[in-house]
Amino acid sequence: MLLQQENKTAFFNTSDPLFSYSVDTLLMGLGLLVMGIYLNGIAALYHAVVGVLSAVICEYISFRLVLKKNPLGNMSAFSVGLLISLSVSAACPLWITASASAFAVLVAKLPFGGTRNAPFVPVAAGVCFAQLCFPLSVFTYSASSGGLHPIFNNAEGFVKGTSLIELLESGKAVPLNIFSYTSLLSGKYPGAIGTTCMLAMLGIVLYQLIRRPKRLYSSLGFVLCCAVFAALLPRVNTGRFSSVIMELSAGSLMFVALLVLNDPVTSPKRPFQSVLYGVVAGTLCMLLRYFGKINEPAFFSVLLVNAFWPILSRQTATDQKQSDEKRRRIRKAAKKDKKLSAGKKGRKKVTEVLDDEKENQP
Amino acid sequence: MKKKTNRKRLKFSTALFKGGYVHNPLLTQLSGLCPIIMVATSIKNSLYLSAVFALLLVVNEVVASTFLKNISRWVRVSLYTLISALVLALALTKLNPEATAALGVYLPLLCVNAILVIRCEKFAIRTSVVNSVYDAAANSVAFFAVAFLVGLIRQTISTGSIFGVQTRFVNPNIAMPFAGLAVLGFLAAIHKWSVMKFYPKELVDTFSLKGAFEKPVLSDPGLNTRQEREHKKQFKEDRQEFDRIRPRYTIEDVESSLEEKRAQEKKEENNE
Amino acid sequence: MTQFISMLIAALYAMLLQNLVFSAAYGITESVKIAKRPKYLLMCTLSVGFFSVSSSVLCRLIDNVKMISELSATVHFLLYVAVTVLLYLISGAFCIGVLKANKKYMNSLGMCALNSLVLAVPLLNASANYSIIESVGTGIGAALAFVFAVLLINAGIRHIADNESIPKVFRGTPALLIYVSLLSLAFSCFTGESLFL
Repeated sequence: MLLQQENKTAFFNTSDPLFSYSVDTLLMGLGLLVMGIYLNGIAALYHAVVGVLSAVICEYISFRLVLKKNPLGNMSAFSVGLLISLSVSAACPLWITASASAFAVLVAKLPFGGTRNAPFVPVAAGVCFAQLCFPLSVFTYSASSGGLHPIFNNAEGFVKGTSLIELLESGKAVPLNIFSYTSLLSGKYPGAIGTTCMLAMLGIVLYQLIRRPKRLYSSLGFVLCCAVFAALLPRVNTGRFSSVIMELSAGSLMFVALLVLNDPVTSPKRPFQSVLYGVVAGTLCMLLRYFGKINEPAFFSVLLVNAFWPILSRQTATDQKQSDEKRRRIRKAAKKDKKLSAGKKGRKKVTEVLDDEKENQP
Repeated sequence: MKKKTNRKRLKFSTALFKGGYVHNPLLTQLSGLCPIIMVATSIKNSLYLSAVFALLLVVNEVVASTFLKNISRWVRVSLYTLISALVLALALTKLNPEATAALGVYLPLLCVNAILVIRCEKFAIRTSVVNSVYDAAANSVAFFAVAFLVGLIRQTISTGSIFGVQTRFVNPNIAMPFAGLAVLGFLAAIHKWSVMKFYPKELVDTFSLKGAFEKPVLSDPGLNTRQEREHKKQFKEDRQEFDRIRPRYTIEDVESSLEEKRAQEKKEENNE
Repeated sequence: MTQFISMLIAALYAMLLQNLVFSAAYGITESVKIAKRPKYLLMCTLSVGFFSVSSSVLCRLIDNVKMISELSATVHFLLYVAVTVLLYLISGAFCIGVLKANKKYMNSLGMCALNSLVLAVPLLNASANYSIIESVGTGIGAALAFVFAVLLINAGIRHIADNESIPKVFRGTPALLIYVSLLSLAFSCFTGESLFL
């Protein structure tokens, strides 16, 4: 168990696989933060600092007192704090971000023995807590776009913006022209700090394709499922393509798909199961968007799929095991029988080979 | 079948300590959680809830201990509900309308609270009236303590005022069920820590998750359970039967048989 | 057809949109107890379904009687309790007399019949002024909500039981309570706030 050994001399446990995952998440989150600061001002940086500090302090104190182990070894507190701060509006009070980070660490991580054993994604739990308890503050976005200027909740000159989600709910479509594409890519539409810039999201996709391509299976399932829903049941009357673009760019859908859903602890390891996991989460997300009352149901869909997945995976895991075993037996039988490699004429059916194998068994 | 009554006198302090604190029905056995989760959102609500619960529990345990011992269990369980409903209907006439409005639909649901059935079935029907009253009082105090703490925490967070000092940290949605469950979870952890730290010998995991699919161990304060008495009796009978039928070997018999065995082995070696 | 759809909507509401176990905490104690021993799940679900549907329908029928509808809420509540208890006693007598049910089943029958979930259904029907068909839907929804809750809590129990790194103070009841609180948080997305009070 070389990977599990803790390096007692160093503060950070670099041999822990979660350490490299957290570092990757931090790098991706920092990219989103830079765009967030450009779009929302210095308030985005304050949120990031407060979110990270709150998560780190809560984890340090609680893990030292209760778990009695190296609390910040795998740097998951940093990534949790940063992702939570990127999911809230820049205009919401800083203490809400702090309380969401504290909830994620103290309720979703600590009682289950840390990140490695958390049954729910801590980021999703923290953001859901903030969205449920403080909906007005979390969903109030600033209308101003661009420029490095401070924006606070009740500052002079604060103008409330209408996000893409609100437009979709009211059935208003965004005309798809060069200006709206560039606005979508640059993140000029009002939204949470780190969820609006689609260019940054594309950068994250590229990064993950290079570093961790297997993490994208669940994201792919999620995005494809949402796209299918958006195409089949459009909420705007400017066409299916427009509906797909708007639904995928609206809210935190892409953010959740790329950074939250593919959490290595809760998401499945096998490709088929990962895609199915993403599809289930996507279905829940779109159903909640159409019929639910919460503005941003993407994080709730992650919590729901974390809750339902153990029941579904028990069935898919046994089926997967059985199909793996069958595939192994077929390959073994094919190697034994030379006629399978000879060509079409001499090829025996695989089932006949398996039957022969069974007969030859004592 | 006539139930045997345990006449052993229970001290109130023992009932309070073991039944109310160590084996708190809400925090260790997860019974009667529904009203705490939903309506213990302020101190006032918790007080109303605890008062009504105490009345129902005392009446049920006294009646069970006095009259219901010889009725079969499956009928008895329904009688607890009927008695509670009647008492509640009478109490509603005396209760503050503000309290009735605050507790809503969870006030009438107190008559099917799991703690009533569990305490009556596990304790009241097997013991005297005085012991039942002590047990009911202890469990009512336990219920009140948990309800009060949950109500205090949730009121503090929802109003944002700590000891009269108003803060900006206001969360009115703490009345939601997930918050009640989370607060209960942390209270249960603090309770478990305190029992592990100060009274480790008393700790019996009444809700064992490691053996989640085995029968949980429930211990009543100060009395042997019926199961334990039956096991002891069975053991005694089995032991008597075993003593009667087992062959009477002495140590000399064993030694002589071993000597014979060794002699035989030597002969075989010599023959070879 | 419209009545069938309204029944389905009432069932969906009780099961998902305002899950009676996670959003309103009805029957949470019983769900946790059955989640520990899921092999009795089918029997308990059928029992809960039977009692919730039948008590729901009977109580609604009683409510519609003109003389009774004019009485106070306290009398209504007493009638609901009496109906539930009567149903339980009749089914208990049937199980013992005809089906020769054993002791274990009779113990769990009491738990399935006399719990806050079954008694809450007629109270909710009265407050929402549902028709009889919708009351049937609420009863079915209550049973399905119970099944959902038991399956989800059982998954949590398995996760917690297999997890050796849970701190000692959280092992057992505390971790389970917090797991159920996160489940309740997940289910709160459907309506965002509790409607049952």
